[in-house]
Amino acid sequence: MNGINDISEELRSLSELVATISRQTPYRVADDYFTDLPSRVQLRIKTQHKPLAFNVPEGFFEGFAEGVLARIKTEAATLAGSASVPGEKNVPGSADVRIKGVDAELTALSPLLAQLRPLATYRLPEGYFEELSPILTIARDANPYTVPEEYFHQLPAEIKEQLLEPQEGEESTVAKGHVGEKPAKVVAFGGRRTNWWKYSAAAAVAGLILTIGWLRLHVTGGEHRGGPGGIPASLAKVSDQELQNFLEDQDTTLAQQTNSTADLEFNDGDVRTLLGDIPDGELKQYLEEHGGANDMATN
Amino acid sequence: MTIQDTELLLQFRDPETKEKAFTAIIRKYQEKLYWHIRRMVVEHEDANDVLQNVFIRVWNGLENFREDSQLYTWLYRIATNECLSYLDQQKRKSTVSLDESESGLSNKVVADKHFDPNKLEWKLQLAIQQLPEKQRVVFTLRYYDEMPYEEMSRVLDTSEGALKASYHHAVKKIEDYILNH
Repeated sequence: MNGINDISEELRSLSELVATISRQTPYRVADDYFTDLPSRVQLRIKTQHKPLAFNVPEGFFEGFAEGVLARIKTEAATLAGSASVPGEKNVPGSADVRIKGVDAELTALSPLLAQLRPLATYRLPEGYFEELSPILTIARDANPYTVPEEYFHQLPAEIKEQLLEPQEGEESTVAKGHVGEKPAKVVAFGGRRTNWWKYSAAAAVAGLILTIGWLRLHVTGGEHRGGPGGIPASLAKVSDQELQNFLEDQDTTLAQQTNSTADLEFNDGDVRTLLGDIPDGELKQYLEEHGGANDMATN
Repeated sequence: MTIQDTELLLQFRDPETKEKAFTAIIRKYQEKLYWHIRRMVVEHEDANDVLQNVFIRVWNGLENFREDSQLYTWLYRIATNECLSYLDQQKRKSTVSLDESESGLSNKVVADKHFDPNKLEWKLQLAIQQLPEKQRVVFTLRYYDEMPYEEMSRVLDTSEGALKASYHHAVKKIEDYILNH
């Protein structure tokens, strides 16, 4: 009692608040839980340490491996032998073939033994396997798991609800046959088709650039349209008669050749000033080349 | 050891009365151990699993019990170790971090059918789940089972001084939690 009082005093000294809280644990447990707990524990212990009920004859395991090997060889030989029997279905590994082979062999050796073969000699007491493990027999029907009430009643409706209400941004998975699954993100591998598209797009762009560049070059070169050599070369191919006919048809009047030179007013003083720097020899040579000093334009 | 416990041990060591003695031991200590375990693991199903494991270990180990402590001290030690192992196992199974595992137990408290956030005893349970595991054990053993520090040091294999400090810290943390929530 003193110990308990000490504990209470200690708690009060540490925290008045915690000391005032009821010490009753609020968790609950079924009323009959503790009633059969010992038997449940005992049962569990017994299942852990169940001794074997079987006995093995003495010397059973000596030569066991050799016996099994010999049996395997015998059955393989029997199978091979029965496979050569005409009129039978020869399916390798078929149990029917094997049994038929053994039956045939036994019938040939001893018809009496062949008749006795299907008869069971040994019998088991009724309920033998249940006695071996009564716990398992009992436990088979005892389901330890509990399920909330009405769970199975509500389950179909809940599933239907989930299937019929696809989440935002997602298609319904019902139509695709994948119930309850979100459609997986598809990541495409780079394939030939993708590469083909890329290459053709690149080629188109390059061709466009080249075409534009070529056209621009020819346009800027451009007084000479119509192919190499330009318009004069094209006109050279046309005969004079055709040209004349064209002109008569079009009734084209040629534009008067106008004097494209600027119309400036020069007086003698200006000419002297302009030509003053040019040596006389060069002026003479100019006049000789262009014929007629008198024809020289002074205006 | 009490006379009754000594007698039970003798009967347990006699093959003819072994099962009877074992049943008596279970009946004597089942509730105390159950509630100690339940406060640690919260859910009844988990507590049931751990409690049965405890008694199976008792069955396997009682023959070799050296009687250097009280039987119930030895039982509490097994129960505490089983609780801590079970909680470790649960942590390893789940992918949550150590910190979040405490909130996992708090969620189990909140999920209890009878949980009432307005009642102080439920707040106390939530506060207890915020404590580190060993501190939780110290607090529950002292607060609910009123175990002396001397016995507790044998159960937890820790010095009395460390246990006192741990208990004091635990009480302060619980008080802070209750005041702030």
